[in-house]
Order: sequence, then structure tokens, then C-alpha cells
Amino acid sequence: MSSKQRNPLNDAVNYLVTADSKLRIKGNEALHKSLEVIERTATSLGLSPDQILQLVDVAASGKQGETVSKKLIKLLIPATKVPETAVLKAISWICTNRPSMTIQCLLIRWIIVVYDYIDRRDRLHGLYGLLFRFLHFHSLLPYMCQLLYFLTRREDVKLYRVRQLLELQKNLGQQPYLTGLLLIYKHYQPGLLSVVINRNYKSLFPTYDRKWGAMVRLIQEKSNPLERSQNDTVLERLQPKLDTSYMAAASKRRKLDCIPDIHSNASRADFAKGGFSKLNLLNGTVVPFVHISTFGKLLESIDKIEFPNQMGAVLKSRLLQHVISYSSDKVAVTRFQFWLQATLHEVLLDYPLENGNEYTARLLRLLKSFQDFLQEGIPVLDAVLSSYICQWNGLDNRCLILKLLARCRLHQFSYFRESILNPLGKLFFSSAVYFKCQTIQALTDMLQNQVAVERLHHEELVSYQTQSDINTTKSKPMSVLFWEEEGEEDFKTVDFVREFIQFVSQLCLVALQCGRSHPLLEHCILNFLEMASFLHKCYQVPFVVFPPASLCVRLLFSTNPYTVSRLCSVISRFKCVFQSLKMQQNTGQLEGRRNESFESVTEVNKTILCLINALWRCKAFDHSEEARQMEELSFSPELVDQRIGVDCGEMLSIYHHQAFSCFTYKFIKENTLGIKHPTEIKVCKREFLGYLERHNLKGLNEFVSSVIIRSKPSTTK
Amino acid sequence: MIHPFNKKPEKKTAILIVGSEGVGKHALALDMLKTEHPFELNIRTAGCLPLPSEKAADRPRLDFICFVIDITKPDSFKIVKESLQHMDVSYCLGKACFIVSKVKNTNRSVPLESIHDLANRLSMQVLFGDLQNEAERLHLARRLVSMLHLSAGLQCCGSAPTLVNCVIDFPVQTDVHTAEPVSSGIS
Repeated sequence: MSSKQRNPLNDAVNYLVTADSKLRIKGNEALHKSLEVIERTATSLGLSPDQILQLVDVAASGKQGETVSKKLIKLLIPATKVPETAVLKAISWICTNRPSMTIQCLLIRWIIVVYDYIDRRDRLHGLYGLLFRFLHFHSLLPYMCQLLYFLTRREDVKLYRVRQLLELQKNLGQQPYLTGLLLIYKHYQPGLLSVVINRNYKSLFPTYDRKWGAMVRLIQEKSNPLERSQNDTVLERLQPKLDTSYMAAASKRRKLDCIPDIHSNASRADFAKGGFSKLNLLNGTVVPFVHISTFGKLLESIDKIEFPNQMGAVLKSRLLQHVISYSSDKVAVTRFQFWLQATLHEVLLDYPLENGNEYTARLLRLLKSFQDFLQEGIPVLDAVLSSYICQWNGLDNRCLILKLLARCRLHQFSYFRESILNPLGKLFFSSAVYFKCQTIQALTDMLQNQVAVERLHHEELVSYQTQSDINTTKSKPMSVLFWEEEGEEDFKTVDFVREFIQFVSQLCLVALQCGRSHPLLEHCILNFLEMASFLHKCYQVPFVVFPPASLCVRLLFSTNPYTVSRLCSVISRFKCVFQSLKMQQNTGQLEGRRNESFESVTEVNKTILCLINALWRCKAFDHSEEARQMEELSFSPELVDQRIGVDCGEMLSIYHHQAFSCFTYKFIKENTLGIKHPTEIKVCKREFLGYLERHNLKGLNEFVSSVIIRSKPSTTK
Repeated sequence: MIHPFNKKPEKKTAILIVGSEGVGKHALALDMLKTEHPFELNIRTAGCLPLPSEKAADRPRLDFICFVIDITKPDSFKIVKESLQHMDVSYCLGKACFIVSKVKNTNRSVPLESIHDLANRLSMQVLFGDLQNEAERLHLARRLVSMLHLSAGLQCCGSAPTLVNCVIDFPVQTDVHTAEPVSSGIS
């Protein structure tokens, strides 16, 4: 049955093959019928290798005329594989120059389309020199370039070929296909090509027959759905199947992607020949990382792992990240830093690809996750980022850049301000509110990271260095991966944190002044202040830094009730921190740094007094007491009182404050105390405070109860 | 010589974009008009400074000047450097900026350091962004409008959401000032 089914195709092929002379086209029903049969089979199932071999001869010889040959070549769609001989035959027909130029072009295009399905390519590659000669035919040039692009191996790159190509480029101008071929040459032998290659092309080979290629792929997938799993070589099965989503998608020569794949000296050829790698495997001396697929295997051979050829691959594999962080191999770390510096320079600073944005974003994302995994910043990354933000448009990969900046290493503040904070500040001032909020959020994260993580690293490194002065045997810093033998400056973290908070507070103050009191901005600023107040409690920092009073006062004038309430709770939290530090000092738990923190106590007291005077005691602009915080508003309150006929000390009290006026209004409407006017709330402030607390404004009550609880408020601390 | 304070301030604001031909001044101006701005916006463009003296009287007070530099064209930088001599020094801090276009291009011919140097000497801002790229241009336009808003002295206080609630409830005698965008033109 099956033999009968296959008959018509075989007949058709035989008919074409056996025809000696040129067949008549017009009115020749046999020819049309056989072509039709071939077309139907080729476009549904594909042709077998034998049939392709037979038909190539017919088509390439051109003896059946242009139309038939063209049609036949288009139909040479392989069901499984294309025999190499068929390709060689096609090339030898081209060499005879018997078929017309169109047919020659079409034959090369066919080879390009089926290139992936050619069973062997060694003999084809043997013709490399010959194929190179064809570059002189201008009509073949674009296709030949692509074919050579596929075929080129390292040993093919020769100086005279480079010269010829450059000569061609000189004559023809910059053509994408020539650039493509030169790129692969440069990739293999960067020493031979000193020219800068502009790779701003969307596609290097626009002449590629996409439709045809898609058709061939479709037929291939249809006829061998399991091809991939069957053809897996031993090595491929051994390779770690990590993040296969993109590893499968990456083709051999994708240049845009700057992160290398994991590969090793134990390459495919070596492994197949049973070369040294197998020997090493047996001896158990070195295990290339490519042979490790599971965590269990990793644990088995953790002391013998050989890192891959390109350290950039670390970013792609979580397993490798485990290895590098465990082994803390100095050479591997240096190699990674070199790679990272070169890649980042290329991607961000020197030649940012116009369409490479997604690759850059992926690189940054992977770096972010690597940093999160290591729990430390990478010094090289900091250096590149600091020069990048000087030319950053504030738009590209904004979230990632800010997150990476937040993971910065701890440096001396003067250096830190010059390299990161000042450029960031310039962007900050010229940007919209939303960018400001994001930046302040990033600075908050930065503060947390510096204090919680990098401070400990820094202390370990400094102690390592001082230790080295005394005795020769020293333990390496265990928690840090990226470190140098020397060069870690010794400075006090408290100085850094104080100056950092000062700087950010100034930024916030300016942002509040010029960006209106934007609720989101105020929220971010309060987040920052909260973080500053948490430092002692959460990260056991033996000091506390109080933000400038001017920022607190500015936030007090906000029109947002929640801002004022949160401000109060932040201030009362600071008060608690100071009290607990004082307690520690009295019990002797605190060493050394106590003086620095307590220098600001008077300022804290003033700020607290100022707030409580304004909000609670109706003495907002009182100059008589020691609270002179409002000195900036240097006007005589009495004068204002006379002018407007209201006691202006009351203007900022909780029931008159602009932020709470809506609550005042509602309180008066809902109350049962018979109050008609806000001023009357003065006698029942406690009830109003409770009312506010019921509306989630808890900070006020917290603040008032922490300060007013005693008969003599605030000054006793 | 252009001076920021030699004319009376008006309700409308005016910004001047200076840059050599073909850098994308007009596209930037159109994008600025597209962005939301609660004030009247008057955008003028010029190839270089000084501006012709005959129409000086009709010209509004210029609140902001931005100089566009195409980093691939050395000429555009030269023009900007020469134009700077015709601008009063009081523009420098906060009332003028450089825009550096095409910084992501591979063949930069103006060194970035010299631009940064110039900007630092004059304490002027440098904004980066490709004027050929739509998203970046719009982003730049927004930043410029907000900077103009500041430099023209029009920044006003915002209102809190809860306060608005309260105003709606209370009978209000005084007029509530609403800032509506006024029709704007480009010249």
C-alpha cells in the first residue's frame, strides 16, 4: 500500500532525472503533473535526502530551462537532512558557470536556507577558499557573504582575506552583509582588524529569505518533532539546564547579548574524542563547571570545580554564583571584575546600542540579582555607574539604575558625594516630582544598605588591614567577595551617616520648596526620616543622627494631615532612641562615640519644643522661651495679633492647623459637646486628639503623650 | 545681550531654544506644548545668539534659555559656545541649561568632558537625551517645562486633597483660584 502511495513522487522525480534533453514546457502535461506532485509533497512532508540529491542535479544544471529550475530549487525542502553531497553538487554546478546568474543566486540562497539541516559540513568548509573567490561576483555578494559568515572558523581568518574584504568595502561603501562578515572576522581575530565597525544595522543580512526559511523550519518541525531530544549529544545532556528559557533562544552568534554562555575548555570536540576532560573526570582532579547540573553534584565536587572560560557567565547561573561566593577564588573574582568593567563600559558608556536596550536591561537586572544574592556591592559597578549618571538621561532603565546605586559600597563621604550624590542631585533638581520621589526612595534604600550591610563589610576589611600590620598570619575577610589587599580607607561610619543624612535632608528641603508639598514627595521624605530613626533599633548602630530642624519645620507646615502626624511619630521615635542611648551610656554599654550623638541633643530638644508649642500649647511663635527654632520667621507676633485680631500663637495648633482643618470641621459637625467654633476646641483638645487618632492620625497622640506626660515637658532628658 | 531682568515680568512665560540647524529644536518645542503646563507658554527658537536687535522691543522677557548641542556635530558645540557670550551671566544659575543630544551615538565628536567643564564653569545644568527619540524628547520637554515654571517664578502652592474636601463643604466667599491652561503659541 505504502509503496503505491509513494509511487507518483518517485515517478515524477524519475521523469525529471531521466529526461535527457530539454523538455517542452508548453502543453507538456507530464512535466506539469510531475512538478505538481513534487510541489505537493515538498510543501507538506518535505523531500528525502535521496530525492534532494537527484533533483539538485536537474535543477542546478539548468538544462530544463530557467522556470523549471527555479521552481525546483524552491521546492528542495528537506524532510530530515540535506546530504552534504547535494550542496557540493550545487556549488560545483555554480563553478561550471553553466546555469544562469539567477539560478546561481538561487542555489546559494537555498544553501543558506537549509544550512542548519546539512548533515555534515566538513567538506563544504573545505571549499571555503573557493567560495571566497565568488565574492567578486557582485550579484552573488550578499548571499555569499552570509554563507561565509556561517562557515567561517577561526583558522579561516587570514590577513589577505581581510584586505580583500576591506577593498570591497571601499569600493561598494558600507554594506550590511560585508559588515556582518567583517564582524565575525573581528570576533575571531581582533588583532587583524583595527577598523571600527559600525553595527547600527537592524539586520546584517536583509537578503535572507525569511519566508522560505520559515517554510523549511515548519516542515522540519512537522516531520521530526523529537529531533532536539534525539540529537542531544552527551555533553548537552550534561550541561546544566538552568534558565533554559533564554539559553534555548540564544543562537550561536548573537552579538547583541553581551553575557556569555557557560562554556569551558572541555569543549564538545574534546569530550567527544575522550580527551583530557574525560581523563580529568576519571582522575577527579578538575571538574569543569559545564559538567555540573545539580546542586547535589556541585556539593560532591565543590573543591575541584573549574570555572568557565568566560566569567561573565556567572550572571546566568545561580549554581555558579554559589560556587564563586563559596570559593572566593581571588583570580576568578578579578576575572569577573575585568569582564564586568569592559562590558559595562561598552554597553553603557562607549557604544550604547540603539536597539540593545533590552539586553542592557537584562544585564542590569542580572547584576541586581547577583548583588542581592551576594549581599554586597560590586566596586567596579559603582565606578562605571558613577560615570554613567553624568550622562544619563534619567529615563533609560531608571528603576534598575537607582536600585543598583542603592547597593553601592561604603566610601569616604567626600568621594561618595563627588562621584554619586552630586551627579544624582543635578538630575534630581531638574526632574519632575515622580523622579524625585524615586530618587529619595533609592537614597533611603542606600542608607539602609550602607548601615545594615556595607558597614559590617567595611569594618571587617579595615580590621583585616590593621591586623596585617601586626602579624603575618591573618584570616581572610569571610563575608566580602570583592576586596583588595589595600586601599580601604579607615573612617568612621558615623561621620558618613551624619553627612549623608545632612545631604539628603537638604535635597528634600529644596524639593519641598520648589516641588510644592506633593503628598507622594512628603511620603518619601518621611520614609527616609523613619529609616534614619530606625537605624539604632534595627541595626544596632551605636549612634543616632537627627535630621536638620529646618526640614522638620518645613514638614510641619504641610497641608497634608498624615504628613504632620507621621512627622510627630518620627520625632517621638527619635526621642526614644536618644533616651535609650542615654540609658546605655549610663549603664556603660556604649563606648567611644557617645559624644558625637549627644551633641545634637539641644537641637532635638528645641525641635520637640517647637513642635509641641505650635501644635499643642498654642505658643507657635513664642520667642520668650529658649525655643528659638522659628527664628527664621522673624516677625513680631504681637504685631500680627493686632493686625488680624487673632492670637497667632494658636494658628498652628491642632484645631487651627491647615492640615487638620477638615477634621476640625467634621469634629464640630459630629460632636456632642456643643462646640460651634474651632477656637472652642481649645478646652477639649484631648477629645479632639482621640478623634484624630480614630482617623488613623496616631502620630499626634503618640507625640503628645510622650512629651506632655509629665508636668514639666520635654526639657528633661 | 539678553538679560533676564531688563523687562517687566508678564503673566506668560517665554523660553528660548538655541541650537544649530537640524538638531530638533522645533520637535522639542512642539513636545513642550504637548505637556501639561498651567501657564501660558511662549517658545522661541534661534539658530544662534545674538538675536536681531530690531525686534528687541516686541520680544517678551525670556525666562529660560536652553542651548542644544548635537554631540556628533562639532559645529553645534562651537555655535553654542559663541552664543553664550551674548547671554547675561545672571541666566547661568537656574535660568539656562544645555541639552546634549545623541549621547548614545557611536561617533561622538564633541568630548563629553569639555561640555561638563563648560557647564561647571558657568554652573549651568546639563540635560541628556536624544532629540530624535520620541520618548526621550517628551521626557526632556517635561523637565524643561518644570524648570521653566521655577525660573519664571510661577511656582505656587499645591492644595491638599483633604483640604479640597473641606472647601467644598464650607460655603466659600472668596473666589477659588483655578489655574487653567491658557492657550499657547509658538513663534
